[in-house]
Amino acid sequence: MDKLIYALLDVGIGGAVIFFGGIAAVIFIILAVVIITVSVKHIRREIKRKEDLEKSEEEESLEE
Amino acid sequence: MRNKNEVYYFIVHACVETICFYLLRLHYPLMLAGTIAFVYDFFAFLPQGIIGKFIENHKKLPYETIGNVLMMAAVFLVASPVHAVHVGGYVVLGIGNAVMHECGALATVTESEGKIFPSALFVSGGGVGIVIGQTMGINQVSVWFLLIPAVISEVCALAARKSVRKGVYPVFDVVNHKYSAGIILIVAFLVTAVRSYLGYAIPISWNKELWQTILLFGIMGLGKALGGYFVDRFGARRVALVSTLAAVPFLIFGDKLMVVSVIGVFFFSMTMSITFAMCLSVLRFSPGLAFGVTTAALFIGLVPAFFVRFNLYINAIFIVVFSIVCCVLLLKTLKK
Repeated sequence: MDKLIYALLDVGIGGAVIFFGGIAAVIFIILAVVIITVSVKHIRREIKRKEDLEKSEEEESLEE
Repeated sequence: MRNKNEVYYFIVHACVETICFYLLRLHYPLMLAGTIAFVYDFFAFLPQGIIGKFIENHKKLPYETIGNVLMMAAVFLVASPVHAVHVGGYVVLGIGNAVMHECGALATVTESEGKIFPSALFVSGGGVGIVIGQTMGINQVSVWFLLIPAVISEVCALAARKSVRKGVYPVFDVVNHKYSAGIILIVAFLVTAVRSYLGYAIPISWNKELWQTILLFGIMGLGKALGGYFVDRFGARRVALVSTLAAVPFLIFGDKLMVVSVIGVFFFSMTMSITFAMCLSVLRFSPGLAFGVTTAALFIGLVPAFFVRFNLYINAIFIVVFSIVCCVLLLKTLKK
């Protein structure tokens, strides 16, 4: 009877670790995706800003 | 007279890493040690770009104080016997660390006059803090001693607060304009990620004593700082060639030979300035975002180390192959 109880406890705790560990992994993946997506959005905006500035500087120097 | 923000933030960085690595090592070894390190690295490295962008767009908040307060709050949270709060403390610690790093990036770039050395010096301060913090944590030094680096960090950070909020940045131009901005950023990201991974792959079985750890991190810091100086003096392309290829034989054959290994680590650390300068050349209006690209790459590079370890032979192959690939990529994307 004791052996059965310990075996059930092992399975239960092992299962809990996998369950909560899995949830944590999913949360981290979602967070990573959000952070990377937002960062890439900002990077694209900054690249466009730089390109627009370089274009306008070129046009100005051509006009001169 | 030019502001000496790089000196202030060298000290800030050392203090910040002292606090962080003290808390990381205080409870080491623990079953959760690997998880804790991953959680901390995730929040300390990955969101830096977003945090930097936020600081650039919202200048009024006292970020320096916020960063230091977050780290001090983490000291209490980490002491909690409740696991969730304990791990949450490392989340707070990581975010506090990230805020301070971004303030450092902005302060040093703003007053750099287009040189990368100030930022390189700022980054090199981390090694000092890592050694002090780890030593304090392993030796279970009283947590009250952390007030010292916290106060020093606050004072030095506040000395440079105007630069963080200036909003006008010098121009960096180390890249080959034949390649698009996206390609340049991807190359800088990849090279930084490789550098991060190789940092774990370098065989250093000689590193057993405290003085050897001090030497290792000291040389790493020296490499980062001098890398910045050499980039400004000789050009990024020349430094890239030397730092990627010269390191290879020293890293491979230095497993049991300390002197050989530290020479490799020195060369290898010099690439930090190059990749940051590349990002600054592309993201010229947002040095915070540029710094965040490199720190995100550092995190991505060390993720494999949490899950898989290879033997010496395979690591040696990685060092050779990755170093050559990085060298080729940098030589193509850097200005002649």
